[in-house]
Amino acid sequence: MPSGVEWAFRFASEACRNPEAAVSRWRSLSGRKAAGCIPIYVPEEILHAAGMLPVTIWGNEFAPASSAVVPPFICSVAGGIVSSIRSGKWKEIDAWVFPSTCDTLQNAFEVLFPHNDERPRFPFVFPASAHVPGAPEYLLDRVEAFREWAGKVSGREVSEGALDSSVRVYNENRRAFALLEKRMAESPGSFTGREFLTFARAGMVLPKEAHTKMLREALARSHATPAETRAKVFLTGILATVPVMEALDAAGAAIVGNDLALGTRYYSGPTDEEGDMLLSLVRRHLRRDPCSTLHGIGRTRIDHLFDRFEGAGADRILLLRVRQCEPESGEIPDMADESRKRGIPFLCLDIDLHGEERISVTMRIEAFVEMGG
Amino acid sequence: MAIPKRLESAAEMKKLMLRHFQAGWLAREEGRKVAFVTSGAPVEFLHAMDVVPVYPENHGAVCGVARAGGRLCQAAEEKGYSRDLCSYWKIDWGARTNPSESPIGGLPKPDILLCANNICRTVVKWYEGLSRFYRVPLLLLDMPFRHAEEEPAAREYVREQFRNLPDELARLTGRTWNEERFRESVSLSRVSSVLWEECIEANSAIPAPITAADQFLMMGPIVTMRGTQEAVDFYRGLKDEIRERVRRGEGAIEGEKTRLLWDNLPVWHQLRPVSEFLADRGAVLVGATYTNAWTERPAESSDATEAAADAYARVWLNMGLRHREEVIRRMTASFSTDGVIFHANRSCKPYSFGQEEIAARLKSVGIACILMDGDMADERDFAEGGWRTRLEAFVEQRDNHFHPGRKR
Repeated sequence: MPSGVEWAFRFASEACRNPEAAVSRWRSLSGRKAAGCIPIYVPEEILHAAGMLPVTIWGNEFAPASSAVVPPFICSVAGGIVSSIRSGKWKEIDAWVFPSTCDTLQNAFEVLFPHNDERPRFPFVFPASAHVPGAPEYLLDRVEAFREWAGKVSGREVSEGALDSSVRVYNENRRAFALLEKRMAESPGSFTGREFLTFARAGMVLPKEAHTKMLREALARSHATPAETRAKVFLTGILATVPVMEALDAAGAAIVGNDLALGTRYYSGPTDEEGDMLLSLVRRHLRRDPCSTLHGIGRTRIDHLFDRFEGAGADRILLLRVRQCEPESGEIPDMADESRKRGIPFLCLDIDLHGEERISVTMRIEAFVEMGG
Repeated sequence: MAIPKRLESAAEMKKLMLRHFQAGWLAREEGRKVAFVTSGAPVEFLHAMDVVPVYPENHGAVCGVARAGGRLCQAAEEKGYSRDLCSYWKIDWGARTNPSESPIGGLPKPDILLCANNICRTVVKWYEGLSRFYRVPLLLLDMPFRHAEEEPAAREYVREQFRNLPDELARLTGRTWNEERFRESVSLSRVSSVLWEECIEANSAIPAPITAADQFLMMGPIVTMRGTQEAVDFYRGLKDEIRERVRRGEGAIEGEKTRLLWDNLPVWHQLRPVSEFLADRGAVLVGATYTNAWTERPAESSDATEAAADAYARVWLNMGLRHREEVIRRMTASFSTDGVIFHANRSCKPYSFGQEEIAARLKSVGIACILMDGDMADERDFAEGGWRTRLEAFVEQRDNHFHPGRKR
C-alpha cells in the first residue's frame, strides 16, 4: 500500500501523463461536460458552478503535431495548443474558453478550430489593467456574459449558491497550493522540482476537490529538513518543463519560490467569500499579482519579483522564457540589471516546449547552480 | 530594369516628415511637451493640448528603410532583448543607446507616453519599458480585441477611457483642455483619412496609377500627422496628382500585366527592390491591407470623443480574422487583383498569426496566395534569393493563368 505522498504523486503523475484520459474518466463518471481553458485568467469558478470540469491546457500535453497554420515565430504554448486541437486531440473537451492573455492566444482563438468543429467557445476578453477607468464595470459585464454562456453550455444555470460553493472549493485549493509553496520555502528540498511541477500540472486537469485532497496528502510528508541543498532557486517565467525540473533536481537545487504562470500566478489570490460572488471574481482578477500579460505601472512586476525572491529565502533567480513569448521578454534586461545590482545570480533560459535541448539545459543549469549565491 | 514612376508628391512628403521629426526636437525650446505615441493612439487629444506627438514605430520604419534596423536590433540583443522580439521595439532601444546609428539621430526624450493596445499588446510592454527608462508617466488606453460583433460594454469601456483622457492630459501637462481644438483635430483626421482612402481607391483603375510601395512611403503623414491641416493639404495634393495620372491613363509601371495585393507591414528595407523586381515582370502591387488600415476614421458626430473612441476601437489589428478576410476579399475584387502576397512578418505576431488561415480560405474560392517570410525592419531576417525565386514563380504562374500561351 503506497503512503499518502506516494499515492498523491502517482495520482498526479498519471493525470499529467495522460490528461485526456483523466478528463474522459471524469466525464464518464460524472456524466457532465468538460471545458477547455486556455491559460491563464479564466474565472474557472463559474465553470465549476455550472457543473463542468475546467481543464487548462498549456500546449505540451501531447507530442507536437504539425499544423499548417502555425508559423515558426509563434510560441510553443500557442503552437502546441493549436496543433493539438487541429490534429484531433482533446476530443473529450466539450467547450472552450479563450482569455485575451496575449496577441498570440487571441489570434489562436481565430485559427484554432477546423471548419467542422462546432464546439461552443467563449472569448473571455478582460481588461489589460486594473487601473484603467471603467475596467471593473467592463469586467463585470464579461463575467456575467461568461456565466450565462457556461449555464447554456452545461445545461445547468449558474446559481449564486453554486457559485458561492465553487468559490470556496477554489479558495481551498489555493490555500493547499500555498501551503505546498510555503513548505518548499521553509524546508528547501522538501519537494523536488519534478514533484512541484507534477502537482501544479495535475491541478490543470483534475477536479479541484481531488487536487486539494492530493495536495493535502502530499503535505502530510515529514517536515524533517532534507539533506542540504546546493542552491535555493526562485523560478519565474510562464512555465517550467520536465527537463528543466529534472536538471535542477539532479544538480541539487531546491526550488523555494516561484511566480510562474503555471504556478503561483495561477494558484494565488483568494476570492472574497462574502457578498456578490461575481463581484468577488471581478475583484480577484483586478487584484492579481503583477504579470507580464497584464499592464503594470512603473517597476511593479520587477519590484514584486524581488520582494517574493527575498520572502522565499532564495539565493538565485532562474527565468524560464518560452521562445517567442513577447510579454515575458520585455522585462528581462531590467530584471537582469536589478539582479546584478543586488548581487543575485540570474539566468534566463530559453525553452521550447516541443524542442527542448535536454543536454544544453542540464549543462547550463549545472553551471548556474555552481555559481556563488 | 523597369522602375515604377516616381510621384512628385514624394518630395513634399519628405519635407513634411523632416519637419515632423524636427518638431519633436524643437518642442522643448518652444516650451511644449513631447509625447511618445503608438500608431493607434488618439493623437487628436495631444493636438488639443499642444503636445508634440512622436512615433517610435515610425522611427522603426525609417531605420528599416535606411537598413539600420539590423545594427540597432543587435544593440538591443546585446543588452538582453531576445532575438525574437519585435524589431521596432529593439530598434527603439538600440537607438536610445546608439542614436548616431539612427538616420534621424534617434528620438527626443518624451514627457509623456500614450499607448493604445489596439494594434498589439507588445506595445504595452514596450511602453512600460520606456516609462522605466525615461521615468515618465504612461497612459494606457485598453481597447478590447473584437473577435466578432462589438460588445456594448466594450464600446462603453473605451469611451469611458477617452472621456477621461482630457483630465489626465491636463494633469500631466499643466494645460487647460481645449475642446475646440480637439474637435477641429478630429475633423481634420476625418478629412485626411477620406483623402487617403481616395488615393488608395484610385488604384481600382487599370493600369494602377501608384504602387502599394508608394503608398507605404506616402502613408507617413496619415500615421504621424493625422489631425493636422498639413496632412489634409498633403493628401489633397497627392490625390490630385494620382487623379491626373488616372485621367491620362498612366500607370505606375509600364506594361502592367499582373496586379497583386499585399498583406501586412512592408519589408521596409526592401521596398524599392521588391517593387522594381515586380515591375520588371509586369507586376504591380495595387493595394495593401496595411495602408488601407489608415482609412478608418471617426464618424461625423456631435460627440467627437465618442466618435474617436469608436473609430480607434475598430482599427485593423483589433479585429478578428473574419473581418480581415472580408476586407481582403473586398480589396481583391475592387482592385481586380490576380493574387495576394502575405508577408509573414516575424516581428508582428498579431498581423501574421492567422495569415495561413486567411490564405487557405481565399484559396478555396480561387484567389491565389503566397506567404513570404520576412521582417518589417530587421534586414537580417530577409532571404533575398528565396524571395526572388518564390515571387518570380508566383508572378509567372499568375501571368500564365490569366494569359495562357502568351510569350514573355
